[in-house]
Amino acid sequence: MLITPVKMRVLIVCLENWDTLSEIPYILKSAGCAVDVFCSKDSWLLSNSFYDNWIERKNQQIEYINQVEEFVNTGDYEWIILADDVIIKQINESYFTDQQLEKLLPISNLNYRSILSSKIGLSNFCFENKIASPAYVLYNNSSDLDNIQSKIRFPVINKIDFSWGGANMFVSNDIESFKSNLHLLPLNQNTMVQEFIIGEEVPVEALFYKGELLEYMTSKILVFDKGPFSLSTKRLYYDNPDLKPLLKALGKKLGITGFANMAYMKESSSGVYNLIEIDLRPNSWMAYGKFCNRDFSKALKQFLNADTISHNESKNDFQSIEISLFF
Amino acid sequence: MNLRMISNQLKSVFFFKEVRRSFWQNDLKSVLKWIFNFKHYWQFIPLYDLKLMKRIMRELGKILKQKITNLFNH
Repeated sequence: MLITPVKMRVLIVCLENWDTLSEIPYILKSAGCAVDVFCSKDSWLLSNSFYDNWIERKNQQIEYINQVEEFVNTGDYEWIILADDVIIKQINESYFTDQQLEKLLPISNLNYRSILSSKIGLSNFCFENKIASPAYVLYNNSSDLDNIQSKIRFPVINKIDFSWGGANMFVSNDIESFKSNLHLLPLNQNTMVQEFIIGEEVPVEALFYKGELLEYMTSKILVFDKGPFSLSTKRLYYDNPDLKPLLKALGKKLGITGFANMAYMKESSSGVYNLIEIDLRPNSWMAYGKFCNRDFSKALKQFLNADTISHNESKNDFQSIEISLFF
Repeated sequence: MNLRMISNQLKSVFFFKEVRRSFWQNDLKSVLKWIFNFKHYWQFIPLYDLKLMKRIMRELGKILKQKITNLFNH
């Protein structure tokens, strides 16, 4: 019988029942990882044949956060993937120590934690680090309308700070059109009103490990599920080498480990790529990389093989023996 | 190289969500594309995993059942 050596033990942690995750265990398993999943019994994460163990998530927040803490403390997993926005936000705002957070969050540079689950945090990070990103102002109530009119250029797009799937987003070409849709915006929630870049949107799926870019793919959205800003169901994938240096620099700066789905807006007039979105979690499209020679499994496998070699060279005898037992 | 890889471009369609969208939006044309394997659409069906396929078909079945029920109620 052929026994494949386990390259890494991975745990996928999921709170929401997102259908975007059902093919992620396949990617990891094909790369040679042992994959456990931590979720509720109804989760899509259980609707696949590629995980090894299911750990049932408890219902109460305090209980499942304690379960996650235990996973970190035992050190059973080399990689814990927080796989939806809500769990990332809850862990980011939890009582964990920096040492625990470094093992849990998808970024190792904790100075930039504000980019996780906050669109405002991402914009501020971009401005501070000279990464092109559209200007914005905040809307809380009608007293902010003068600011919106004078400080940013129309058209604008509004975004609720912690949201996904294009919730309550709309484009306004002028202040009058913005005012006419105010009933759609919550009051006093720091809604971001951002300059809407005229150009081409470039969604990016990427995989990083310890800040290193392992693979990425870029596309053009052809069909949306429920209208603009919602999830996409049909895409055109193409090579975009222009983005590679930007992604590499971003990965290093943040120390990203994990899957990332991002969106850039390429401004028609200048050709500049503006970073408009970054969610450091898997999405449905990542399993489709194999169709366009951007196979995330292969990239991870290659990286882990190389890492194992350098690990073996640098570690002491005991650890070398432990790894060789797999073979 | 993949059959659909033309000039370094690939049209990719997400099976579950695209069929679900087609049902929701009564987009019969898109449903037919899946039925007749239009431009190798079937390659995007996750046939490699029967457990996942069962769940997808169950979810699509629920939507279809709802559509048919609505049709008879009108």
